[in-house]
Amino acid sequence: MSIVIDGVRKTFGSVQAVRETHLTVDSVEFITLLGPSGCGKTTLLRLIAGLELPDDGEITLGDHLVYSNRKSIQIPAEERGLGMVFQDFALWPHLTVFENVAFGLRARKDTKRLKERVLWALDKVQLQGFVDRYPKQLSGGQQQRVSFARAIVTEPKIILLDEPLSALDAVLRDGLRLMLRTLTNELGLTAVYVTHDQHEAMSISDRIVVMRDGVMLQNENPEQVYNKPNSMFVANFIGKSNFIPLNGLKEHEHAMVRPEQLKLKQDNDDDLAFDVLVTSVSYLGDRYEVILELDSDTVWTAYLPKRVEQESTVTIYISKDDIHVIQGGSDE
Amino acid sequence: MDLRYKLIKNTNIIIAVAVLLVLILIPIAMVLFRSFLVEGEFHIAAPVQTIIQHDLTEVFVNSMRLAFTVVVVTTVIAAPLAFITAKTDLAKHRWIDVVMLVPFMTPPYIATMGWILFMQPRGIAETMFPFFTVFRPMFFSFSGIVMVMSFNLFPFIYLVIKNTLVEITRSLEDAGSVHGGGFGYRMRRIILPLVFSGYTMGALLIFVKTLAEFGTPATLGRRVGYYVFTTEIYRYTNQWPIDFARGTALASVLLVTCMVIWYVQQLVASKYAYTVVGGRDHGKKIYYLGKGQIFAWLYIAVLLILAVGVPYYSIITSSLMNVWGRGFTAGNFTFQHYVNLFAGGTQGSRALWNSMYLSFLAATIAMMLGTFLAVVIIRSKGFIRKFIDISSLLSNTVPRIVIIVGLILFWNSPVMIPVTVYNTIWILALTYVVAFLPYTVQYVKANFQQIDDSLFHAAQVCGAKRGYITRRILFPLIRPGMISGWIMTFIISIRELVGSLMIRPAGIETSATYIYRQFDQGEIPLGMAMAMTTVGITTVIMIIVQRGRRTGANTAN
Ligand SMILES: Nc1ncnc2c1ncn2[C@@H]1O[C@H](COP(=O)(O)OP(=O)(O)OP(=O)(O)O)[C@@H](O)[C@H]1O
Ligand SMILES: [Mg+2]
Repeated sequence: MSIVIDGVRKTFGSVQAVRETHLTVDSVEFITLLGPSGCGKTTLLRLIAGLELPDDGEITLGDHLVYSNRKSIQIPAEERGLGMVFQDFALWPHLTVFENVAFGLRARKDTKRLKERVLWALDKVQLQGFVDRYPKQLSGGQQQRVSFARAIVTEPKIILLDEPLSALDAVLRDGLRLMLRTLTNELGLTAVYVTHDQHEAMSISDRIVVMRDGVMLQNENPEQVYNKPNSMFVANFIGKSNFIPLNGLKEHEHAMVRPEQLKLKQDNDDDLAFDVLVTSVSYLGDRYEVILELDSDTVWTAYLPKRVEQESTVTIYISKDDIHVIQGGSDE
Repeated sequence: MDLRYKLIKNTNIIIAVAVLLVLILIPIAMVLFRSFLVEGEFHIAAPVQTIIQHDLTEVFVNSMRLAFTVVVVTTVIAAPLAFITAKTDLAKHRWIDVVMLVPFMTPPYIATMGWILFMQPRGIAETMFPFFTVFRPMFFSFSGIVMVMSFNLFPFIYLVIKNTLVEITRSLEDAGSVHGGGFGYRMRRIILPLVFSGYTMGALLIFVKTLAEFGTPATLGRRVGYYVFTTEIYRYTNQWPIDFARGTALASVLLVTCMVIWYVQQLVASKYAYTVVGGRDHGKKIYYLGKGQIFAWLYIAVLLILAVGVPYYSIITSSLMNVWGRGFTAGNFTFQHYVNLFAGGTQGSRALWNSMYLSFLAATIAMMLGTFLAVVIIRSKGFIRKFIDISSLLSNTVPRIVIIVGLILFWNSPVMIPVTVYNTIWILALTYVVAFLPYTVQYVKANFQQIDDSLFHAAQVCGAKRGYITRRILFPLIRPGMISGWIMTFIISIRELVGSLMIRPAGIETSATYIYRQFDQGEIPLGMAMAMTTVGITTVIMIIVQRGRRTGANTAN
């Protein structure tokens, strides 16, 4: 089921949480809203869910118009038929795992084959043996799996996830992330996923929407967002970027390469070459992270396959194809 | 718009405001209004005039002097204890806090009766501990009143001071000593300022509580001729010759005095409130007493003997005596007074039964109404939220006796007479509801505030409608607060003295009025048996609930 957000805005008092936004999510697509704290990710998600009302615009789920300011349509959250996973899990402490998951079915009086369907959902998240436990008797990861089971038990077509992994520790996170992605694929869900963790966003998404201050800055697949950031903000927010003083750049143009694109060997004849000073070397296991100084204003980060001497001068090659020129002032 | 606010209907807000107006606001307003009327005309200085004209200055001065002295004495008693249990090696003995609640949970009139029975001629002390009789003149005077009230109220200020002391983490103090502050200097420059605002709040609360207290002045104060606001209001409104106007004027002066104090408290609170910013280090500094522990234990023991031991010893022995004043000998021992209370048909058993079912009724209504108000408060916003919030907690701020006078004025007024609640037994249940409503409101509100919004949002996204969310999520989650509110209302309704005494219809007795009257008429064993019974019943209920909650907590929540 597709999601179409058309001209939606949301302000809280004087804060413009979401500025006029147009966004389309295709059916079965996994899209991620990525951005720093306070940029309006959660607000946008809650607007889709119906937990907040937009100031303006239209929201369409599938072929169902659920919000329209112009036509005065406001379908409340409980009638939108979505699944949602919350950052703090939001499991009801007084209900067992079974009853937490069964809630959506009971609330909609859709109790045919109730037990079977609840167990199906719990099976999907590998928690079948836990039906009689209370939330506080589960670990964080298990709790989040229950909340995922609760979101899918009604077999929604769309699932919204608000930083579902951020309350968990790093090891759990990787496993659960894979599970989330596999399950959304398998169940044919359209997913909107919110995170401020760029690695999570890169690895899980079909498409990333980078937001700042309530504005969508870039809306493309992960490779494009990483390799071809369309603004200085995206370039700096995602990954590390090195800026090269190139001749012929116009004002407000910046030439950027990523750390892994700095090489010790020349591959092509027209590669650019720079003599730089090595100021620090850290071994990361699979590579060396090296800080290089071209001059006092220009400091680069490179990922190199072998160690270089600190305080030595080395020659760095950059292939012209790798250089990406960004338009816009240094703050945009 | 936060969708939480969408969940409250305007009709609910209107109902809440209407209920509060009728139950609390109009009665209190009537007291205030009455007192500004002099011969049908409005005078802003009327209450002051009343005081001067009717020679009530003495009452005013007496009340203030008593309240001030009680604050000083409770502080002197409580501060060392708080330091001992918060900052020394005795801190691990958590049971001390529980035991210290006993005097606080004992109705002041009962504790006072215990002390009077102990000290009075031919009393318990004279027959069993003759040494104590040298203190008799001291006890039957102002200092006796102060002592009994202080032993009743000190746990409150103790807990306030202790809780602030506990908040002061080790690092705050260590930073003081690393930078060269000795013990005395640290006390003066770090601990005292941090404790100050909490303490001031506690002290002002004690001040108001003392001003508003009826039990001790009515039992001991009256006997020694020390009259205060509450006893005078009671006298003018209930005893011949009745002078209701003067009683009302006094009530309004008491009300205004308390309002001024609350206002001062608000000022102090906003000016001196520090939040101790919590860092990582949540340990607290422990002062090791070593041999000094003995003195600490001695202090605790003496306190407990005076605050709990003496009154309860007197009450229990008195309740078991065949004839009071003959000493506690084998021939003078009987359970008959207790049997009487449960036998049925006796005056005592009727009084007990009245109290039980009126309190049951009041607790149930207060629970439902208080929960309703709490939910409306949480889910509304802006001015209306503040208004409902303050109004529903008003019975906690306004002295009980003022509210009672208001209720009499209102329910006995020509407009309300047709409703025929006044002069029936139901006015007692209504009084309890009005007086103790704040407990449920506070408990449920606190309970509700801990529930994260996302629990409701999750339910909404799952397809649940408002009614379903209320029934399956909200209600089960606030049930602990509702139960606490019910218990509290039930317990204190059973023991409520001043309200029952002033508002009951002729011929109706409750357990508290029964105790009061038996004591007055010298039927001491009967009265004390009733006192022990009500204390016993309420204690048993509290223990059962604590147990139930602990086992319940293992499954849910
Ligand atoms: N209910 C509300 N009332 C007032 N302001 C709000 C409310 N909800 C969000 N805001 C404001 O809107 C802005 C966007 O908030 P939002 O929660 O959408 O950010 P976010 O991108 O999810 O941030 P985070 O990563 O910290 O969760 C913030 O400035 C926030 O303070
Ligand atoms: Mg957020």
